[in-house]
Amino acid sequence: MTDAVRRAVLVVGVLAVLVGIAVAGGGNDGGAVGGPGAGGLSSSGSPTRVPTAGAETSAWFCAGATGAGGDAQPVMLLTNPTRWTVTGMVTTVSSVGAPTPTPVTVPARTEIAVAPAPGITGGSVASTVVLRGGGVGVTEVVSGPLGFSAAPCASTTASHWYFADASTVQGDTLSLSLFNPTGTVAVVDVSFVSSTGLVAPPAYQGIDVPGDSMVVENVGDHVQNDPDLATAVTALSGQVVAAELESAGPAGSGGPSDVLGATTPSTTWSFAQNTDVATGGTVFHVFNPSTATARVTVKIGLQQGAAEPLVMRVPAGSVSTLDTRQLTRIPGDTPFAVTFVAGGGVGIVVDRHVSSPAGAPAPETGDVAGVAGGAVRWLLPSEYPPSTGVSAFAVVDLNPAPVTVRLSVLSQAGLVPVPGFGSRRIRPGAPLIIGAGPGLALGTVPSELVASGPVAVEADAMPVGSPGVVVSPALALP
Amino acid sequence: METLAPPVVAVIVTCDPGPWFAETLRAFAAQEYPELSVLVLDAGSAEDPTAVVAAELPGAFVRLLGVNRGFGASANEALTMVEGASYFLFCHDDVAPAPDAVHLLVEESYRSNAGVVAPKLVSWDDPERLLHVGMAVDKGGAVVDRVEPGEVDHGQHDAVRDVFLAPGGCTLVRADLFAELGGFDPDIFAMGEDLDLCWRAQIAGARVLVAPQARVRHLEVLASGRRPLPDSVLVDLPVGHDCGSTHDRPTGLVEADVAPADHVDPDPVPADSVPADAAVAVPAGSSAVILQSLQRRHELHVVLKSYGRFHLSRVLPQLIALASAEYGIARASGHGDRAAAVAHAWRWNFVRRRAIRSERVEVRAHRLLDDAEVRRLQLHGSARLNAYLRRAVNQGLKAAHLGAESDVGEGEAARDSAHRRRIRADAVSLRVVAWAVAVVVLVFGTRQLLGSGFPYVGQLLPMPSAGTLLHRFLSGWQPTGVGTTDPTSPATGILGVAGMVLFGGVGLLQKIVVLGCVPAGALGMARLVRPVGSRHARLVSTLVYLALPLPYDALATGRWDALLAYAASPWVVGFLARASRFAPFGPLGADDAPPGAALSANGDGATGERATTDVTTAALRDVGPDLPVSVTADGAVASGHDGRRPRWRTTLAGQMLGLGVLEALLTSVAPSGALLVLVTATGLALGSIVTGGRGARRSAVRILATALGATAVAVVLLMPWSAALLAGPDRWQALTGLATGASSAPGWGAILRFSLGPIGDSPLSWAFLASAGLPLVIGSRWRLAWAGRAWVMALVAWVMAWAAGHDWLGPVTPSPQVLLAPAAVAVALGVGLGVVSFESDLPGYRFGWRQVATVMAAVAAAIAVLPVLFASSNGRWDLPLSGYGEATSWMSTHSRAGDFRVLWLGDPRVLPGGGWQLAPGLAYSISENGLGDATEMWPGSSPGAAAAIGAGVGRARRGSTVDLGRILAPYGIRYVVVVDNLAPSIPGFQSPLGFGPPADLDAALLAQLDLRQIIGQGGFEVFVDDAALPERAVLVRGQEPTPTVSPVGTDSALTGWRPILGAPPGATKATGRVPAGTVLVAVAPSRSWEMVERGGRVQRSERIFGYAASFDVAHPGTVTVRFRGSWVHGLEVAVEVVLWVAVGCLLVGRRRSLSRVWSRVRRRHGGRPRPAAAPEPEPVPGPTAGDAGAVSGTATDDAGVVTGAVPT
Repeated sequence: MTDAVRRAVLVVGVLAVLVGIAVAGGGNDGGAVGGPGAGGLSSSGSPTRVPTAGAETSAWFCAGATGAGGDAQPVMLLTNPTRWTVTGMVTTVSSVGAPTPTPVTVPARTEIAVAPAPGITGGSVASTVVLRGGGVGVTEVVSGPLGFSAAPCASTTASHWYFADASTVQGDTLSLSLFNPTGTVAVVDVSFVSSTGLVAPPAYQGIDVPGDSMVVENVGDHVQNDPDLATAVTALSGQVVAAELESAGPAGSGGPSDVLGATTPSTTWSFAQNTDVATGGTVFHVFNPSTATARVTVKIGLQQGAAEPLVMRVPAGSVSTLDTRQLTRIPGDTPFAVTFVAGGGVGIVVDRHVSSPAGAPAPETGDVAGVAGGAVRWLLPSEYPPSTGVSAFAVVDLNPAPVTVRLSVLSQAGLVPVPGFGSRRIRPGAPLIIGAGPGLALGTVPSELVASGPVAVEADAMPVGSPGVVVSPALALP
Repeated sequence: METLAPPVVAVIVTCDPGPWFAETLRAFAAQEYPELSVLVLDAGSAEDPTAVVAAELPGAFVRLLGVNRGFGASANEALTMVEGASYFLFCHDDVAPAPDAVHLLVEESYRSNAGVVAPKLVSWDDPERLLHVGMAVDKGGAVVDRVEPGEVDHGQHDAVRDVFLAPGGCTLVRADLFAELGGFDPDIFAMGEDLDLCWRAQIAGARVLVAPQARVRHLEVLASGRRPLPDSVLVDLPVGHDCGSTHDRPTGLVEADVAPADHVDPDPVPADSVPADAAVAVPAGSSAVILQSLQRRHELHVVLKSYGRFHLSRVLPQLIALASAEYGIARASGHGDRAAAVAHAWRWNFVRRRAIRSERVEVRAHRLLDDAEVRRLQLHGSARLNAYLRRAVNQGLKAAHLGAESDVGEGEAARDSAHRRRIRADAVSLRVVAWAVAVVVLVFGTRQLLGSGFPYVGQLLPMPSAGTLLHRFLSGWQPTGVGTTDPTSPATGILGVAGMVLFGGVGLLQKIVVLGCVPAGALGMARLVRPVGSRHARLVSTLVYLALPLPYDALATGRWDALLAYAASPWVVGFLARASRFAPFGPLGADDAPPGAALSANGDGATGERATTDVTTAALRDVGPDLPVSVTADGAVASGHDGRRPRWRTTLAGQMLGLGVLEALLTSVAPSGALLVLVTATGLALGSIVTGGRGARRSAVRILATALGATAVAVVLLMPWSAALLAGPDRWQALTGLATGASSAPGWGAILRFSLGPIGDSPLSWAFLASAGLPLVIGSRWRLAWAGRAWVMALVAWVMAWAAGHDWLGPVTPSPQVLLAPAAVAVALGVGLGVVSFESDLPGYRFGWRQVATVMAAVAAAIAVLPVLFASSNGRWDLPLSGYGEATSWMSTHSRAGDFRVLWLGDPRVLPGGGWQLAPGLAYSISENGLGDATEMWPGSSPGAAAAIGAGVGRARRGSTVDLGRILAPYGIRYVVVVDNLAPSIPGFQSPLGFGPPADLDAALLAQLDLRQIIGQGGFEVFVDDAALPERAVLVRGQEPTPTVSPVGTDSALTGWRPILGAPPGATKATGRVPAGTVLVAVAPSRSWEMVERGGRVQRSERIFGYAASFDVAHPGTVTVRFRGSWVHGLEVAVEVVLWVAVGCLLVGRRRSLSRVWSRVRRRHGGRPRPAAAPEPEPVPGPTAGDAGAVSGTATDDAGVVTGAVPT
């Protein structure tokens, strides 16, 4: 090999390798550390995701309830879809007394209801459910004079919690529960986004929440008469569970809402079933806690066909509302699914406020958080105390292609397909309402829904008024 | 015949003239000038010269003065003896003016109206060599010549011009001026009378000129040491009294250049025309010292008498300061003669202060020009200081201290010798200066680390005592994790022995082994480049290697393994390069001799002499078994064919063994060092194939074989530790490294710039690459080939480092900093090869872009140094000021509640010590009672029982548990520390690098219901597990606790334990009083622990909590819990020690017996030597190729056997 050839080979080769790897590695250079950031909600980080059945121990944290005699007396539904009996302890802390431990045993493929604070009168309560094992889901149902509300408990603590909507107008009471089930002292900042902009009450900055304790703030003391109030909770140290308990209006025209916050903004939020009933109302609140404007596409799926999607622009640090009654593209008294998709990786938080037509049974109004992202397995609790069963499950397909769903009930013999249901195919974005019908019993036994693609599921106690007043997102199974 | 020419009287002062005097007289006799008279003044010669004068110059006048009072005082006699002369021509007795010289001098004096006119003084023996063409003087009287020693006269100085000094020897002075000035200063016996006269002449308004057309040969017998000075002159000089008299000015740039004794040509060559016996037996060195002293004192004398008050008040302080500095430097550098000369000058003049005062009055009387006018003719600044600095830069401090680059002797041979010495001094001094600068920068940059201990950062953990190190090596039990009987790294024993050698100074030992990596790497680089034969290349390569940010980033991030890799890599590459047998690392034929080898061929001790030996020795040493060549102690080279035996270390097996030992040492401290060797070998082998050439594939195979063989040797030497590491994939982690977070992996740019830390993150760092690319474009033959191999090796290392950082190598994820070390060597080698190419190849090209590229590469290399230079100002290479030792020191005070453990979690780059991997970017380690010690660098082959701890953390991250504290409690883990940064972040004090663990870790720990965070800021978090058991605890019988309610229900196993038996971390024995009950010893493995109860009853342990030891104590009393050693481990240690000693014996010394055995084996197997990978023939470039006496003794016969001898 002559020097000329050798030189050419070397120079070209060296340059080729340098440039090649620079190009190949360019995309990776300077990459940010991965994290839950603004891009989509990872299912593992969902506060309502059921821990894997193989877990050694698992915990659920239920806040936003009151003691006996209060407006939101809790009952926890512990649903065990596994093949093993799971034992554990429910420890209830209150603002008026010492922690109360209660051993629990959840047999395989059953659901039990635990009233965690029968002896606690007044004040607020929160409960920690620690189980020797995983796979068990916990949902909290609170009830009182205004009616009842249901929400999943949190399966994790977090540093951030977001709520898209609440109200402090006259007649409404909004309590923010900051529950710290850990041993580490948490220091929490709370701020709000109202119609007037960002509100950070000094009293809510640096709130100390000692370990194994709860702090409940009456938001109306500092942010008054605001009908659309978004909340952001940030733990500067430690981690907490945050829930809002809103008691709206007087008895007969209002209702309680127990809402678990979202731990992280997500780009996709779904509400599987919505129905604009006459004289009722459905209003969505889109909270953009990020520092960038969110361009949100609202996809509306109908059982027959689809409505034209619409686009919302939600400025940074603001809340926008969407009143579906004003959307002529949605037929009245027709179920529809709504999916909010934020573009550009900007995370948002969405919830829904539903009001029943006048004269409907209590509760007449209710707030519910949407389902962030989707999952293929969902755990559906059965019966809502007091003696109100789930009347319907709503499923929305988040997949760009049709999916098939199967519904099974939990029984001692295992998962038993629901007679008469078989499997259903859903179009993308379209809602599937699974209501009680001939041969299809809902609300008496817990169920498990399995889909061939990611879907969002919610359980609706429809008979209380209009669809969506009392809704609980189902629990995603791993 | 009456002429109009002004009468000139030539005044020749003589004293014991030699045979040359006749020629001097003949020269005057031959003068064409019509009005020339000659007056010979004999200053006390032992033999009357009248006869000689009469014979050669009958018309001359002779006067016998009877006593030697020096040239000036003797010449002053002319004032009283001569009348009517217009000019005096003051001459030494060893000058021979050309026939027209006087005529030209007088003519020029008239033309220029000059008072003093000097001719061009040339060498007596070689009139083409210039001695003086007028001289300059600075404000301190220091004389500066205008010609270089030995400078050939090409007419380059032939313009008539004003000079400050007309040097003595032959000077035309207007008679009236001479009379007005009162002649020479009689106090100046020699060396300086010309300066005094010229200075005063200029004060009196006279011009001093040089008329180069007038040529005068000058023998300079005084400066050459042939003429002694009288005792009367020597009486107060700071040297011995062994000189005679007279008055030549030595050849030199400044008079201070007169060489002291240790720098004078030891063999001054006499003039051919001068019989050897004409020279007086005066040691040349002594003569030089004397002349130096004389000149210094006289120049000061002239200054003191010539300046007016104003200027003297300005100049004198400067002279005092300079003299003080010179005195101090001379004393400090061991040049007493020079210091004595300085002191003598001031003392001599101080004694004569009254005489000087009166002389100043006389000068003032003649003054027509003020000092400002006179000083315009002087040099600016200090000539002596300038000369010192120039030599310091160009030749080195030693030459500067010597202040000499002139010969006292004269003649061509002497000048040649001086020239050669100057070449040598140039090379030596440049190296010395460069090394000095490098050392200064290193010391300056490390200054804050020299006096204090390291902060506990990364792998720079506190070193346990030497006894503890040895105990851990010998005991067979390691406290890593929760305890293991896996073998420990031999580094524990090696460091323990080293600590003992240092009398227990393990702090000093740590300083040495950490900070010493940088000079060790530089030394390795210097040795690696030595065979290329260019000292400049060697120097540049070494400096480039030192200037790369890699080691300083390693230090700043506490990466001892990276530092060791940096130190070892040049040596590793050296072994592999020699194994390749590519020239110049392999056999050299005459055609392959690097330029240095040819340069050295003079054999006279010039620059290349040592290089020749180096090159050839290195080359021949490494030819391997196929070329049975030996290099004897005196440098002779012999082959197996002439009956001499090869040195077995030069064989492939020897190379393997040497590299194996190096690899074993490296791997014992930095386990991924084994990969380093393999990566280096792969790169070099691939480079060999890519660059091609004859035997390339065989060389590649040899390289790989050497690396694999060395690795095998290392595995054997590191037994049984290596066996434990290699026992299974789950145990390879220590060798393959811990994966870092890919999301925070270094970018391609950082990899290429070797900037994996706070240093070097500058665009300037790219410049090294540009510089290393030079040999690819201008090099040829072996230089181009090696540049290609180096680049391929660098590319392989870069790609591997980049891929490892991005977790692209699967389970093999060594630290990118470790993998970059071969690339650093390659870049430094590339730059060095660029220098060689510049010296060898560039002259062969026509001027064009290659020259421009060379300049740009040089500039690039220079500016690339700047980032490291700037970083040195920090004084600690950005190593944090405070580590986790200080931040967690409070933990140790909590041992009162029982000894405990600490679980450390974090990215491997910031985790103190070593650890085991949990996930990419997350590792864990365990220490006792606070921060661990340096042995945690080697966490063992597997975590053992501590694996359950890692698994528990993993479950917490997955959300599979919410009571991690319950899992950790039986292991005695009271604190969980999560580190985000290299060291605690302290606002306003330090902001160390941060590599946070996976984002879910923090949330997972915070979500644990039985862990309590007590510190959550400052770059690290601390969680406490209140339920943690003490390391040694007792559950008192009869006091079993009531089952308590934990978050998950009732639990009694973890409650009721009381601490007992306190012991230092890592102790294998604890003694104390215990109550009756169940004793827990939370160390593994449980079967290796036993309890000795009162009465000596030994109780074997029961397993508790799945790993720990428990004992049932029936009665209260004093017990001892101890580790039960194994005889097998003792045997293993003994074998290991024997192996090391044996290998050491094989490598140390010449091992003639082995060489004999090797030779015999080869003969038995009919080992006709095979030719090595023959380098392509190459003519030796450059002018040195044809030098007489070139290394002709090195030649290659047909068999490739090197024969002949190497001059030494």
